[in-house]
Amino acid sequence: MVRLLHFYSMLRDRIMAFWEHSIRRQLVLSFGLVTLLVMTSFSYLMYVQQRDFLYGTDADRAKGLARALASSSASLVLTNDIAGLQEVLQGLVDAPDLKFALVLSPQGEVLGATNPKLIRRYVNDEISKRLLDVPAEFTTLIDDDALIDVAMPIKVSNRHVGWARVEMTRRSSNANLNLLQATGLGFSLLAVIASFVLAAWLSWRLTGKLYHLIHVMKAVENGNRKLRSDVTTRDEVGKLAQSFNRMLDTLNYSEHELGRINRLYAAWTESSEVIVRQKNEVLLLNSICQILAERVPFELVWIGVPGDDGWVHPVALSGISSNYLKLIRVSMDVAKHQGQGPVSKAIIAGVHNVFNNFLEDADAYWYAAAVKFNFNSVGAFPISRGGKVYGCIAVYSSELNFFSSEHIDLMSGLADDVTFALDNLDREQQQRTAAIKLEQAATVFEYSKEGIMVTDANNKIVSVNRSFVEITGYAAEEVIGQDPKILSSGLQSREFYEGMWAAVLETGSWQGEIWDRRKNGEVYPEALTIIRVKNVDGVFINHLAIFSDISERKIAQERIQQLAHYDVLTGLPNRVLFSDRLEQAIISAQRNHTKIALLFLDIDRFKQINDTLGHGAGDLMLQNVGQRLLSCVREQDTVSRQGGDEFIVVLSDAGIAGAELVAQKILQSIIQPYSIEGHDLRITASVGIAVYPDHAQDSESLIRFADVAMYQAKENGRNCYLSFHPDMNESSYERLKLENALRGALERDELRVYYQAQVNLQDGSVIGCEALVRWLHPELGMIYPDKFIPLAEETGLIVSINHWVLEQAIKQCRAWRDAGFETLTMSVNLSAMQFRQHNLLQQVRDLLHKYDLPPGVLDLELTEGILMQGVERTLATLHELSAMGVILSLDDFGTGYSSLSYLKRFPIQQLKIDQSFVRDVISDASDATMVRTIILMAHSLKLDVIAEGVETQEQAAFLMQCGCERAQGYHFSPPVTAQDFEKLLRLGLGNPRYDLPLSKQLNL
Amino acid sequence: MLIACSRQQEAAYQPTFTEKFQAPLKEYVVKEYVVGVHPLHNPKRLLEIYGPILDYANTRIREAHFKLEAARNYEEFDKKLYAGYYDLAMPNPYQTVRAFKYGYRVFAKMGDDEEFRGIILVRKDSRIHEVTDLRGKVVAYPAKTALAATMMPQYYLQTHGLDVNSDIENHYVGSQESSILNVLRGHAAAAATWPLPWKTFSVEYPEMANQLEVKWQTAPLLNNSWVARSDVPQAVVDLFKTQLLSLNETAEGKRMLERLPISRFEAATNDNYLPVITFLETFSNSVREIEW
Repeated sequence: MVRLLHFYSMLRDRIMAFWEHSIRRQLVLSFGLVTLLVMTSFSYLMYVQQRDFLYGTDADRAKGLARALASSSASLVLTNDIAGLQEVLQGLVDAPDLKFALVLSPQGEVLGATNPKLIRRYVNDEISKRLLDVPAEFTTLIDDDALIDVAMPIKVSNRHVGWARVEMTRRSSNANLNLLQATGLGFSLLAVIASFVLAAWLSWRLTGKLYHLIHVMKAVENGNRKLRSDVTTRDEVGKLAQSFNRMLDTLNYSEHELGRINRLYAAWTESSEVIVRQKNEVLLLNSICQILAERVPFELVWIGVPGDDGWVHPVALSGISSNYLKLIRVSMDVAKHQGQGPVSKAIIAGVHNVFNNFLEDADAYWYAAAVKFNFNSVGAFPISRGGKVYGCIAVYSSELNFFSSEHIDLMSGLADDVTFALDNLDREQQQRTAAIKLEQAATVFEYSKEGIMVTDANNKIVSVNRSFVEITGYAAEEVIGQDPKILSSGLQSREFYEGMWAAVLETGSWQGEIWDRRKNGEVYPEALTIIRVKNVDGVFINHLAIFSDISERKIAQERIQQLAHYDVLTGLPNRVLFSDRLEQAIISAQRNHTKIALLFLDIDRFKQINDTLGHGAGDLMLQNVGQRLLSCVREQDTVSRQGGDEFIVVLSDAGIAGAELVAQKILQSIIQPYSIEGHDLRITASVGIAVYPDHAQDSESLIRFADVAMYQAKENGRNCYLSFHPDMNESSYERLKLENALRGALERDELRVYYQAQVNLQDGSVIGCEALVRWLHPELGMIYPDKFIPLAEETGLIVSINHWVLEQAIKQCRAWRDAGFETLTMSVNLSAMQFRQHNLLQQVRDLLHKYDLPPGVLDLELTEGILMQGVERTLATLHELSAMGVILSLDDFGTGYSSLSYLKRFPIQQLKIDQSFVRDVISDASDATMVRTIILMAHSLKLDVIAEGVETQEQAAFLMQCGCERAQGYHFSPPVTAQDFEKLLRLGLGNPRYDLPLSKQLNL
Repeated sequence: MLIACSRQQEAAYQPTFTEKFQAPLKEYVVKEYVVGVHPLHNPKRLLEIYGPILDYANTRIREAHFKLEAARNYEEFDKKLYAGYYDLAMPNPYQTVRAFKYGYRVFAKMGDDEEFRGIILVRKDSRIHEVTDLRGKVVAYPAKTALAATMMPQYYLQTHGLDVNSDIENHYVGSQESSILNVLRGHAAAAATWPLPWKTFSVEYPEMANQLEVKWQTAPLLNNSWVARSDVPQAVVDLFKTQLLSLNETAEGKRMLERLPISRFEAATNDNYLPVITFLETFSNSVREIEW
């Protein structure tokens, strides 16, 4: 196998070698093979076509024969006419190529045949038997290149009654085909031989010249450069030979040209090295001249620069013919004949100027000198400097037509390099100057008294000066590369910075004062100027921040501020500054989503200190408290004095938990003893806490809620802190709100006086009434005295309220008397505080006088509390009232001390049994005894008795039975308005009924 | 190469034959009986009309197979019938009575005996009015031995004033259609046939038939019979007979009968054909001598 492969590959190589080594062989073989292929294919196609045609004709003939046989034998088959069939078939015997014809029954029985011996026999071979199975249609049994055998069904009225079968040989067709085949082969052979001969002749003609060319080429290859092809035909080979000759000529010339260019190129490369290295202009230019003169070589190389005098002066020079320049001068004036040369033209036009035949014009100015030095070609190449033509390099060669386009390009490139070198030298000089300027600026920058900071376009610090370091405390390396934000104090809002940068962007600079933070955390004010720096192209490159520390100036300003915003006594922010700070803190918390805690602090019983030790001691105490509060909070928190003994602490960024911790700390600090004017004092405080935004969103509510919480803390026993809770609304906060409301109630005319009837139990007649105050609150509705009277007493409002009620009652009494109810008495309650005022007596007197009423109609109701306070002065007032004729009743008798001694010492005319006894008088035996005893006792002291809070008929009956003369209560009538009471008066006077409350009778 | 190959092949194929049928197919296992029908029509038409009746019988009778074989003409039919070639046959009454001698027996016959009579056609535009108008003219008949279409009309003419043998020229033209066409074309003055072919012709060629008219008709005799060779088993004959007689009981069978056209086949025996013998004797004595 391996040997076989080896043999195969060797054979293939041989064939390839035989093929590839000669165009002649390729041509001859190609022609011959193609012709053979075409002719053979053509013959074959012809053969196939003819064969198909002949075979098709055979098949058609056979089919036709079968069809004819079928139709002619139909009736004969039907009638089983063997003789008739035989007659028909005998007619076919002579048909050309017919092998046999048969008429078969559908069962394969031979009914008729060209060979009569077969009649009545049955077909038995496989091909024939197919007819027994196939449908009754035309059937081809054999169709090959020797035979065509077909069967046509014999049908009568669509009934299959037999087959007409015909088999024919293809002997005629095949004979025809054989002839065709032989002819085709003969023609093919002839064509192949002809094409071989033709191809051989053509290729000999063609390649003969080529072999000649090959011979010449080999000679040239071996060094005979002068040899040329002598083929002169006009066909392609002839043209090839001509091109070949021209190519050899060009090649010879190029080799010479290439040498010159290479030398020029080498000179340029060497010049480039000098350009990089040499910084001295004169040496540089001379070196270049020298290199060109030696390397190329040129007879003369010089660099000329036009002077102010209009002549071109050499600044560098080299070459063996340097003396040429002693013979000629070059002018910039084209009118002069010295201005006609290449140097003048190149400098004036700014493009190279070349004379490839310098001696062409014998009249030229330079002719004699050039002849002397044998200059045949001259080129001048301009040099620029700073964008303008500076001078030119002039080169001189003894060779005629020295400058090809390559030469000119190379020389121009070299001149451009010199331009570049000169520009570079100039630029370096400029940079050195600029560096000196920069150094000066840097010194200013460094030693400026003001801090200077430079940031780049990305707002990163790129440099800072010495003063910057001094003011901020940051070393330069700490801040370079940082964002200037690290200096930010956080005191200015974002809006402030946005405004500042907007101004910088718009106007290019900004000036103002700003708070920054030193490295040590200290915040300081500075006067700042920001300048936006652009480069020459108008592109923004830097920000310059120049600033000076203005802390000192600020301190002076702040002192003035202090007076306006700080409490003089404690030095703490006053209410004004506090409000401002709180607002700021809320804004900041809102923005940062942090919390603020407000601690409302009130010193417990501070009044006592003022009262006992005097205001001086009180002030010292407040100062001390202020200091202690400051010591308990952080720097960013605010401690303010609100006035009196109230302080508010604002804790920024603190929730309830944090606030409570601080409150605890404060309480512990406050409780430490104080040494004031030689006294050791202890005080406590109550603290209320409210937190933004948990409890309230605005400063006002926040303060109020902290106040409420503080109030609650006081209620809870003082010396404690309490956080605000919405539930506080029902107790202390409600009270506080009420108090505020109550203060305005009189002015807003929200108070009303109601009148409750007092009845004579004997006859049921209305003998008087008690004036009772009601508060019609616009939101809370009707508020009863028990809700707001204690508050009014606490706040002192009771005085004005009671005075108002007194006047209303007296005024109403006057009205009713005028209406005819002349015996009616009017009971009015007095408060303890009114007794403390000195003018109560005068007030009563004035009012009675004002409304012209006898004092006896007025019944002033007192409480035991009144009698107990400031006993002596009260007693005097009472006596005077009594002396005036005013009736005095003791209210709520039985609930307090109910000292009999009071009854003896004070000028009381009537006792009022408290409703708490009357309520249970039926159910509780002890209450009944108490009431009975009071009545007995009063009667024995010659005092009138009136029972209040009577609500049932039984209670009324019991009281009457005990001898009580008068009563008031819901059983008779609830307190009603003046108009309703008047109705009651009109009805009740003439129609007393005991069993039905008057109010019911009146349908009130 | 091509040539060599074809020669080889040509030599390779030679069909072979045997004396006996070698590849029996299912339907040919049973014995085949050749059924001949006298040439009422040409063989093709005969196959069209009687082929379905034999198919009908073949599909219903498993024990035997019946094959219709036509005859080119009466002569051929007579030759085969009297040679005892047919197993079963439907001859005309004349042939029937002659066949008795050759071992055939009647087992059925066509119905509608009244149809079995001779008719004489003339062209409507002819001037033949009386039988005697035919004197000296050509009269066409199908065949000498045709009973209804030839003998009975001849007897009619003989008994109606003509001497058939001398007064007219008798042309025996081979078939019923031939006879009708002869008078239609004018080759004959009158044509003898019998009603069955005339009906068929009228239906198929109404325009041509319209040019003719039935001038005279003979008295009816007995219709064609069905006979069986004596060696054919009675069981086979009975099976075939049953199918024939039942044809008028199915729609399919009726359609077949309509094409004959008769209304039915009916059972018969040799005795039924005695009147035919009588007629033949009379005919032979009075018109021309015939063999029977």
